[in-house]
Amino acid sequence: MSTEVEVAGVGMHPFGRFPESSLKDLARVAVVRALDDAGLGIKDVEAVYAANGMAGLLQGQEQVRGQSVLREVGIERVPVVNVDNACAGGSTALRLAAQAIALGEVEIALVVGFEKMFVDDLDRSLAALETAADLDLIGGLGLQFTAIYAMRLRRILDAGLLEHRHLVEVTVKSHRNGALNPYAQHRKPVSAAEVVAARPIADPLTLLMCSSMSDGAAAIVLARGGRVERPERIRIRASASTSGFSRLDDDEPSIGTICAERAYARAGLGPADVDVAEIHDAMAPAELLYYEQLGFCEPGGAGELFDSGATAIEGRLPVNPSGGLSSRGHPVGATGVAQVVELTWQLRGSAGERQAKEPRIALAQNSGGWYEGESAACNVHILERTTAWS
Amino acid sequence: MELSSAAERQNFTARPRYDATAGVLIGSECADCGARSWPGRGICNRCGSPRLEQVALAPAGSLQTYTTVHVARPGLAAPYLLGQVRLDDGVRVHAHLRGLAADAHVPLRVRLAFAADLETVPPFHFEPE
Ligand SMILES: [Zn+2]
Repeated sequence: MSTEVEVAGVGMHPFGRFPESSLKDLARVAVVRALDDAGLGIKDVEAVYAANGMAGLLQGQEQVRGQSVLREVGIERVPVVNVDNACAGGSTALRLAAQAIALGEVEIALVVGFEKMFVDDLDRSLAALETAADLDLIGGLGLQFTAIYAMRLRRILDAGLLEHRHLVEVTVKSHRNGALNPYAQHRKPVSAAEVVAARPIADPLTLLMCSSMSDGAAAIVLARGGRVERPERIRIRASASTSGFSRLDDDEPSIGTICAERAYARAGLGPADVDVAEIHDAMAPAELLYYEQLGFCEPGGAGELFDSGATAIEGRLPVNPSGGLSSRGHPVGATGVAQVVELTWQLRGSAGERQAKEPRIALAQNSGGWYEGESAACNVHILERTTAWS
Repeated sequence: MELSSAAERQNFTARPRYDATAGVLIGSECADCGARSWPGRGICNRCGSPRLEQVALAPAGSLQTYTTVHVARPGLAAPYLLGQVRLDDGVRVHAHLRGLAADAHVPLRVRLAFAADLETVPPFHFEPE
């Protein structure tokens, strides 16, 4: 990018079930915390990128969601861009904000993702989630995200490239990490036996492997390099985005692989340079699929990489130290923002009990929607701590 | 052929998506690169050509993966079976499955079948050959 873009501040409202809090309340907490973290006020914000997936269907606020929700925190006059890209909305908003700064149009941009999925009617929430695909293709199928991930995993299990125990054990890891995260929705470690015995959702997935409905918000203040003084400086080293396509040939690289390769090329880095990653495990075992797509292992090597312990918090490449989507929670529009909030804490060294060892390069991968078997959207961001670890 | 010809194409909702009598799905085929698609498109997604023709797609293919869904949805009692099929002419279709053995292992040959009542949504599914 032409101008350096730095993460000046981050903040979150915890993810979970908050019947007393509206979207305005969730967003207020995240925005105030991010601005406070940056040492800035609301009137320093020059542009806003607001991500949300389902407020139209679930709260009836179909249009001007950002302006309406952020009225609560006194945002007005500045440009507000409302972003939907299903579960990848948060990272799409982040990317647009980074571009605005890189262009030199603004020096301070606010990225905020907010979602309220608990509406006391599970069918309504599930129906809203199902709109993350072309309705002309999926009408009447009952194609839920749980089924989409279940199908991706079944194929690999039947090909003998993963064992069922991997799905279980990576879920145990997710919950172990989530238990260390005060912002996570699911904060209880689970045993392998509990994962196996949990209610079946879509074979081979059980309830404990899946992310659940969630309320929450996350915010990031981005700034032109050097604009905000901080003890540790973190910049966005690369941002890449792709959308879904029909794979006519199963040997074609997936959207995730294509997006990651673009991000690595832009960063001048490779997968071996990544020190910590937050990836889109809407179902905990999906983490294993993305190891391969992000180049963390060779094709077919996900089980071996997991078994080596490398992706545990104490390993050489901690993946989803936050607990990921499946344990931190997955309030759709907030997820992509929350991934980068977590990575910022990791790069600063302020992640507490779930801190990775002195990471310098961090990768976030956020996917959204469904497009004929692939994701409809995928974004990969690579962050760099430019301050030396002392 | 000029791209602008695609602006004159029959409306999406007016195009047939299947022919239940013939037992096939109807899609599009690109006269330039051969790519097929279901439902048919207005412009080829692979090469950008507007020279698309309506074609009957292969009625059978390989079930690449499937899942048994245990969460009911309005109009869909649980459990129900969803699958991803690669038709013999290369088109990937997602649909309900019937008649699959409980321990079915993929890949598996499947064939398209239609409901007796075509008002059923969706009106077709796949079954083992
Ligand atoms: Zn073509």
